[in-house]
Amino acid sequence: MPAAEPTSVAAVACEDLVKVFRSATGETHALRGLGLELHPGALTVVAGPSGSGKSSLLTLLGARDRPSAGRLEVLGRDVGEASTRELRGLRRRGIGFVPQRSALGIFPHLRAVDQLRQVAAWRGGETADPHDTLAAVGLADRAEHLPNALSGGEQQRLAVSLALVGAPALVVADEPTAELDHANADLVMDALLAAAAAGSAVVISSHDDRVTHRADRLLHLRHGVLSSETAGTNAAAAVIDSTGRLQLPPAVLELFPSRRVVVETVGDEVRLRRPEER
Amino acid sequence: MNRPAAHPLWWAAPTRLARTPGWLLLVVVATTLLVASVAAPPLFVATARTSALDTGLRAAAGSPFGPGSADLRVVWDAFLPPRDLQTVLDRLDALPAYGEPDLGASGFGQSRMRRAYAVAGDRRSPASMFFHEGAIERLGGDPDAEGVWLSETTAAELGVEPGDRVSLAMIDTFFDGRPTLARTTLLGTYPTPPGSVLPTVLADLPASDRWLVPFQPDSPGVGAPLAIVSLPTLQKMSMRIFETVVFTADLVLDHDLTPAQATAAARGVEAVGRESVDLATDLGSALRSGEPDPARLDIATGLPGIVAGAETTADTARVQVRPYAVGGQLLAALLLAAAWVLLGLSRRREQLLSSGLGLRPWELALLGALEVVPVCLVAVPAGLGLGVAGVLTAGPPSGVGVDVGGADLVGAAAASAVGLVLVAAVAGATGLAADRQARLSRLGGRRITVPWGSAVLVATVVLGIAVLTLEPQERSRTPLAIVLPLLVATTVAILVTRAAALLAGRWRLRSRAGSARWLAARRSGTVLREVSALAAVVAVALGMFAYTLAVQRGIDDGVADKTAALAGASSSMEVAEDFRGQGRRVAVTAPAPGTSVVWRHGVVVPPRFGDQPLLAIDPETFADVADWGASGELDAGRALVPRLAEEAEGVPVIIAGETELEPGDQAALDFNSEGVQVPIQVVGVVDAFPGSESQPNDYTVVISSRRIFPLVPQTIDPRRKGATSGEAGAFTSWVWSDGSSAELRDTLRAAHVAGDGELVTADGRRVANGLVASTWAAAYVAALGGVVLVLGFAAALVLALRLADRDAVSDVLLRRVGFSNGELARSRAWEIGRAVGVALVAAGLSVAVLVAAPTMIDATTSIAPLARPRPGVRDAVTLAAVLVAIVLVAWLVGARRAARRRTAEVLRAGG
Repeated sequence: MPAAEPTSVAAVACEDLVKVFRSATGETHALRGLGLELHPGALTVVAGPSGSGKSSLLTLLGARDRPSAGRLEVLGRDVGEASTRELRGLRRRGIGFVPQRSALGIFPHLRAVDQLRQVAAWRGGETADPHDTLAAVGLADRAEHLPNALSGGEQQRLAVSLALVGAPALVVADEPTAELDHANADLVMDALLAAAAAGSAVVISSHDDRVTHRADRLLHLRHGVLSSETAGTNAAAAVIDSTGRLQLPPAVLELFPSRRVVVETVGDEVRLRRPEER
Repeated sequence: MNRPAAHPLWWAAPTRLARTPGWLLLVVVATTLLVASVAAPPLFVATARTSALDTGLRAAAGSPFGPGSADLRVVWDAFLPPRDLQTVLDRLDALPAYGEPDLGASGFGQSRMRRAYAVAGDRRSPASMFFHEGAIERLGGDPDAEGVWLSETTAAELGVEPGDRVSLAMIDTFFDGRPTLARTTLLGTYPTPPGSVLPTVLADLPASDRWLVPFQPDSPGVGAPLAIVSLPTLQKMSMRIFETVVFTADLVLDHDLTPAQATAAARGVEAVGRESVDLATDLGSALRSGEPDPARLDIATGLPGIVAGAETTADTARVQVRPYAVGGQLLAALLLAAAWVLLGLSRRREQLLSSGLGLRPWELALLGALEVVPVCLVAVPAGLGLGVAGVLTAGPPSGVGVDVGGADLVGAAAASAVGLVLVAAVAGATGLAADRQARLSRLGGRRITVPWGSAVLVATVVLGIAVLTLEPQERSRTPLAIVLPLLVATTVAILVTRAAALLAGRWRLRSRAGSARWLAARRSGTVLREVSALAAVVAVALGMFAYTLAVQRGIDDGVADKTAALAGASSSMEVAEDFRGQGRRVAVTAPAPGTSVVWRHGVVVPPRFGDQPLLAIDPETFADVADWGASGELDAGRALVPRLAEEAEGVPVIIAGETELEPGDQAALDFNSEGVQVPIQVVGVVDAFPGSESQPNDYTVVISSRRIFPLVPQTIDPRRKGATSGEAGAFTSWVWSDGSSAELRDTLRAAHVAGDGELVTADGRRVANGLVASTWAAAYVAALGGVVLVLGFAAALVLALRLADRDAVSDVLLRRVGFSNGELARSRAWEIGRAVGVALVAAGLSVAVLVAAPTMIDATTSIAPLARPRPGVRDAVTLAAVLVAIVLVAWLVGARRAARRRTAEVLRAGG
């Protein structure tokens, strides 16, 4: 399926995004000033080690939480400033969300097809037959089943189909293929890419190379900030945030054991070198 | 492309709960209890009314017509033309709940100087004219024939036989003048049974002993011989001999009346009374035509009083039950809300999903409401049934059952609707909270944490002070009577569970590593707050249950004590003359075993002004006959009775009630006549004494009749020859009995003592003073205790289920490292047992605090002694049994739930 050309109006735009979690033992900085734009028609994958802030970022993008600081705009709404009602409306009509655990994303007492019908009714507008949506993730023959009759993988695919039904403007999926075998993971990716092709902005998190290779855009997150970005077949580019900070890959970082660097500009190149030993 | 037409989430909601039978059961139970808590109080009050009415009617059954009988006797004193007589009878016949009027008429013109006689020649024999509807037919005569029927004895005295001419006359015995004779024919004679003036065929009729018959002027209790005539004959002859005739219409009240029917009957009787003096009515007009003078209607029945008494009892029951009823409703609502909150916790994932999908709070509220609609439909009949069952088993005794009316059904439906709204509100609030929680993530935002423990403590102290400022009687009439104990139980539960949590570390150290107990200690640590919270709920429930047991016993014992203080003995009868004027021995000697003679009088005890009741008893027989209550509060008085016979610095007395006198004090009794003062010495002061009847700020002086009679003024000494009860300032004498009123009558009859005096029974005193309503309120409290026990069981079950859910994953892993299923189950049982054990300690402490606090349960503080909660050994045993049952049930439920889980599913779902 040919990918739609990303439009210029960003579905998501964030700047200096900070997310801090408080606990009895102190504060945890999940995101530390992250800047990002996501456009409709593209599938973006957020990758990164555990604890890098992927889930926190996706939860914010899904308008399910508010940033601690910074600006986050989703589908034209400032998530930090919007009222609870506005956020509710945003989630209801504009955002499809697949949580990290599939059981969190489905109603336990409704048949698969009914779940899709209900969510489609909330999202409104013209929508595809729920059976077609189920068929797209390989659940055509499980439409009449309750979730407790579905396997873990089937529940995961049902959660994905719930996020896709009604063609929301933004689809956010937290590791949607984590519990799937390769064939089903490909099915889910196909469905997500189709949604992007239909004009949705799709953003997912994943560790899976088979997923990241199919992304229009790959973002690497480390320690709560974007460390690099890869678009299509281009080489990975390190990301400099709005305050000028640059995150070096671990291999490069080892070259600077004193954690000090001399930045030199030579023509249109920037060189980093160790400061001279005294 | 198509538009989705269905909203499956909404359609699925009504059957949603059916998929989780445990939660369904909990919600059904909670809603049913809510409905029952609303439906039961009106049913309770209605049953109290029915029961009081039933008691009153049964007590009045068979009594002579008058204020003591519910049956109706209408009396008038003039002849009415047949048409007007029929108007009167028709009006009486129209009275609701009464049978047909039974018409009678008798000559009542006799006095000590005018006597009614039958005369034949120069012979005469006493005979008063008598008519009763159907009497002549039963004698075998023709009711239309003119003539008279005389007894065989009278006929023999006159020497006449049927067919002979006889005369009836009113003879002036003082002047012995020539009487006016009314001549007629002797139609027949009849035999009479011994002791009766009625013909044998009439005396055998069950109602004939209540007929109004002429009596002998010299012996008012003995009937005069009759001259039975027809009504026309009676009219004609009475006019000729100037006899005064009294007409009666007797109406018997129907059996098994409802309060509404009885009220209608009483109102009907009152209406007849009003109409009889209103010439604009048919009845008043008919009475106006009486001969020789317009008739005046006298109405004799005790029904209005019985109905009013039943209403008073019902009102008293309502007042006394109200605080507990409100408490029960609050508890039931709390249980339902808590059940839905816990259900919401079990659906935490789904709540997040709903929030994520943007469901609005009102949609969540409606979904919650839709879920409980079927529950509410079931709860209306179930709650009503439970209310009826509760009232039947724990409420006032009622022989006619519990009548559920339309209003009760509406009340139950309203309660069910309230439950539905409550669930909707909880569901909506939960959804709102889930949405709002996101806002708190903003930097600088502060979560508002309510210090529940401190808040409850402060509320308890404030409310406790507020309650103590109320008069003791007022305390029991506000919902505070149940709210404050609830707060006290909650405060104690919080303190104890927190203390237990602090001690948990030490407990861990003493358990053997790897044992089930060791595992339980480590598991509890991870969810300590939740376990503590549920333990606190169980503690509050058990505490309230134990408190209700103590309250019920306290009220029941208190009622028994107060009844003893009021009535003195099971039954007692005032005896006017039999013990007077016959010396000391007769005055103080009990007429039979199981009885005692008690004398009452008023006496001044300077420096206090005004009469205090004086109770002169016979110490030798009094203690065994008197009622000493149930709680032991009156036992101190019993122990003092022998001391009344001892020597002291004055006549020994016991003071019962509020007094400034103390044991050992000396004072004097002033009998208000001839300046005679009797020195006394107080041997003891008690709050109450059998028959003391002391009011607040008042006291009764109890003294030995053997010691006081020689010292009282001669004019009032009942021992002296010629003493009578009619003398000014005379003692009143009573015979107390430990038997029933019937047994007392029999005893007195056998001892040849008059048994027609005022009768006082413990039951009567209990009803008259509203104490019987207290016993019913106590039963309601017991039912309330059952409700909180259900709450405790439910909380313990939830605890077990939550622990089983918590352990879903760890059980799998622990089994793989060598723990057996039995060990895991025992471990969980240890946790539940520990939580419930902590709850038991808290319950015991809270009951101890509440029992030690000033009483809040006495609704009749004007009658000493005060009723207070009374815990018993049986309560402790009951609590221990409940503890064992809770642990067993919770363990079984948790183990069963854990056993039904499949390892693969558990691990895949993350528990």
